[in-house]
Amino acid sequence: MKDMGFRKFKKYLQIFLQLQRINLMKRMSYPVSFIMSCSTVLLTMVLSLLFINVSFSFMDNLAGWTYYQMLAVVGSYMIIECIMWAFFGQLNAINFHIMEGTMDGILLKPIDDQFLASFWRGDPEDFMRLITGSALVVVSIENTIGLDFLNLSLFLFLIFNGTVILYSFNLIVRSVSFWVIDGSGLWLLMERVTSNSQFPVDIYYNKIVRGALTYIIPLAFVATVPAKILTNRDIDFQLVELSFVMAIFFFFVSRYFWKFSLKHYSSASS
Amino acid sequence: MGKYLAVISNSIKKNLAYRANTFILMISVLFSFGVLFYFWNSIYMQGNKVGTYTLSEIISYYIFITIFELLFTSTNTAWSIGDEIRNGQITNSILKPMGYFEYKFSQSLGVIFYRMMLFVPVIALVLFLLRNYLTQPKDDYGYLFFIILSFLAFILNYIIYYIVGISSFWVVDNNGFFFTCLVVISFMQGQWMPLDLLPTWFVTLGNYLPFKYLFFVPVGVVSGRSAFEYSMLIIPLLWCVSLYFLAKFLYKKGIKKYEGYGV
Amino acid sequence: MCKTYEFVEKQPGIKYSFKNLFKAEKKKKEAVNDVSFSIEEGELIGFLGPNGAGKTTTLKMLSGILTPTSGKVQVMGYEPIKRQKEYKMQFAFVMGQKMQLWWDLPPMESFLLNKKIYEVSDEDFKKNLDEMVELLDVKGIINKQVRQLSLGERMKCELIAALLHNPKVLFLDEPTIGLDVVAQKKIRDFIKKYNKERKTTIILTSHYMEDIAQLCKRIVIIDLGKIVYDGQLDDLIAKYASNKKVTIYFEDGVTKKEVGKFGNISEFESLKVSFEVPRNDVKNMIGGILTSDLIIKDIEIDEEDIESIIRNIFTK
Repeated sequence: MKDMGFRKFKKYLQIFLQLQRINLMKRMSYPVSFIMSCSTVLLTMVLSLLFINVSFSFMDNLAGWTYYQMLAVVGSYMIIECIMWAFFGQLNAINFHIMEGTMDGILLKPIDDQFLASFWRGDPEDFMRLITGSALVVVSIENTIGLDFLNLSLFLFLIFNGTVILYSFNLIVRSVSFWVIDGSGLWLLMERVTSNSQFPVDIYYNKIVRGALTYIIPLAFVATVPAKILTNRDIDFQLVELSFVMAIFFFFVSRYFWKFSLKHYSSASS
Repeated sequence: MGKYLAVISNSIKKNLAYRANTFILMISVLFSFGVLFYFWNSIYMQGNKVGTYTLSEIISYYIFITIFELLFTSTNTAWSIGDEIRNGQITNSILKPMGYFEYKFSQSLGVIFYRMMLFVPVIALVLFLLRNYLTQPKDDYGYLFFIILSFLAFILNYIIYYIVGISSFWVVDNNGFFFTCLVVISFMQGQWMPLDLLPTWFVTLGNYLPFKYLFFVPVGVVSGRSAFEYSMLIIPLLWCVSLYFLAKFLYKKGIKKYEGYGV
Repeated sequence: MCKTYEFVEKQPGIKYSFKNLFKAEKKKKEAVNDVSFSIEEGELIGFLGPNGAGKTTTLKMLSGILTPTSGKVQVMGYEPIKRQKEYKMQFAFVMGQKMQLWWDLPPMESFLLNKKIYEVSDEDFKKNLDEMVELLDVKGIINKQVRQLSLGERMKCELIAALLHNPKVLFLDEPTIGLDVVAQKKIRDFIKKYNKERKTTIILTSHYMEDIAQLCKRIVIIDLGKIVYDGQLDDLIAKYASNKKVTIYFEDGVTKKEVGKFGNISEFESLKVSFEVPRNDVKNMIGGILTSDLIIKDIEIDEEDIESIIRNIFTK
């Protein structure tokens, strides 16, 4: 029994690795283009930082967040976005396959369809985000409370939860394409909304909005919460717990919605 | 003339085909403006300020930038040209009795009209709801100047993205190149932040490039940040003319090379 | 032993009107209506019919992509729509118009991915790959980027990718579409050989008569979502081929007027004319021509084109 579980894990791991290899090879077949893309991602990160710097030249703190604390927020966001782009390709593959009609090929494979569709495409150039994100996090740590293993470990745990939450959200939005075929409009909206999660949730003075961003569309857990834990001596363990619960909850909701949408997809004529 | 109209209407029809997506787009645009407003309002409520911009000015800035982004950008032109070159479809266009530049322009117009149909009601609603936060142009004929500048901006925008698209004749995998162009252009037209907040050396550099006339200058006029000057008309016009000739030249060169090597 | 068994399927589709943005006209379309058949293991069966007849929909129901609205589908004892892993491991679906190979990479990479997904052992993988590469003669191209391959080469690689895991059932949807004549023949030969050697059940759809004629002993004709004929190809010809094709080669040029009286002309050239002649009349017709003034160089008597046989069925 245990052996079966291990074999299954090995199979999925091998498929994951092969997909990463494929995505990297795709890029490497056009090396100049790949270098350009990497540089542009880097440029985008630099411009984000520029925006923060310019903003902070006019104010010392943003809703109680100092400049170095702010760096942790932006850095966390970059790290999570890196994972979303580099490993999941922002789940663009799902939309693409539905529109092109090639989703069927994925659904027929003897492997979990959500797994295959999610990891199908990845953009390796976005690993640059990890570099800049980590750099910002390091600078932030140095200039706030310094290296503390507990804070750092919790931070990594929260980054993981934040990724799960963002992934689940993305999946739900993409699954809408099973119903309307071209769901790109909704994703555009979500993109605008989620790109705001690189600013601390505390800037919103309205309690209801802050609540919504914590419990309903929990963007707070993407960057704000990890940064908070990383840069504060007092650790709010309730937040850590909440982040974990949210991650689990949204993961299962998104998986359920995925399966439900697939059922609908297979009853409608394609 | 009729054939161009046909292209325009086909382009519109194609986009309307996805009904649900159309509605979703309209709602998301509404929300985007809402998010924008709320964000800046929150920042300023805390007593913060961005440069010399007042709350109304910064909100006006981003609202108009977003309007331009929604209505007047022709990035799809670059992508579709790239695709057509890659999959060989461009050869068909050569056989058609109309210039490729004009053909893509008509398509682009179709997309613009479609977007206007969708978004103008939403935009009007937003402008009405936020009327207390919007700033006015400095000049008497400010709105008129704005319309002319927008029109120029649209043309310039099209020509620039046409040239980016045409580069596919020489660049094998255009994803990287397009991406770079997109990011650079969008930053330099003021989409990320107002260009006058950037360090002076950057601003000087920007003056030698056409990009600020795409968004930043028209938005500056309509939001009252800058007074209208005739150079705002002449310089982009000069850019349009020279880039137009460059575009035609590049296309000629490119298509010769393309046909020479086959698909 | 019964490999696949089906009962009744019905499948409505929904069409939206594109004209009016604010009003959706829902029309019900029945893609497949009351299709029943059963297939034995190892059969090579062809589904033939015009576009939109319901062939692809039927295949989609057999593979588990679509749920039938009513009726039961069973393949190898599994219900396809349940999408059980064990079932998926045992079949393959190749779609002629939708590629499953990665575009920018050599087919080998796609093969490796499939190897992992279908849990093919290293030995089996090597054995199957080498065999098929040999049969299809693609050794030089499996390490070239897919986008650099011709359509025929791509299709061959698609087939290999699909068959690496030794499926018991193979669904082929329009496999030769868009291919040149040579490539079509190669693909057909391969399919025939594969079915013979491995006893794989193969269900093939096509609107090319040649595919069906060359490969399938048994054919199912679908039109407008209903089965019009299900049986052996030879029986079909015998039953519905009421005419024979008589081709006459003339020494001197003839006009349509001169030869028109002998029978229905199906093809005309001044030195060579083909007629559609009812079976019973062939003797008389030939007798008539031979005793006329026209000088005959040669006579050919063939079975009617399968195309026209099918046309006959549809017009009945």
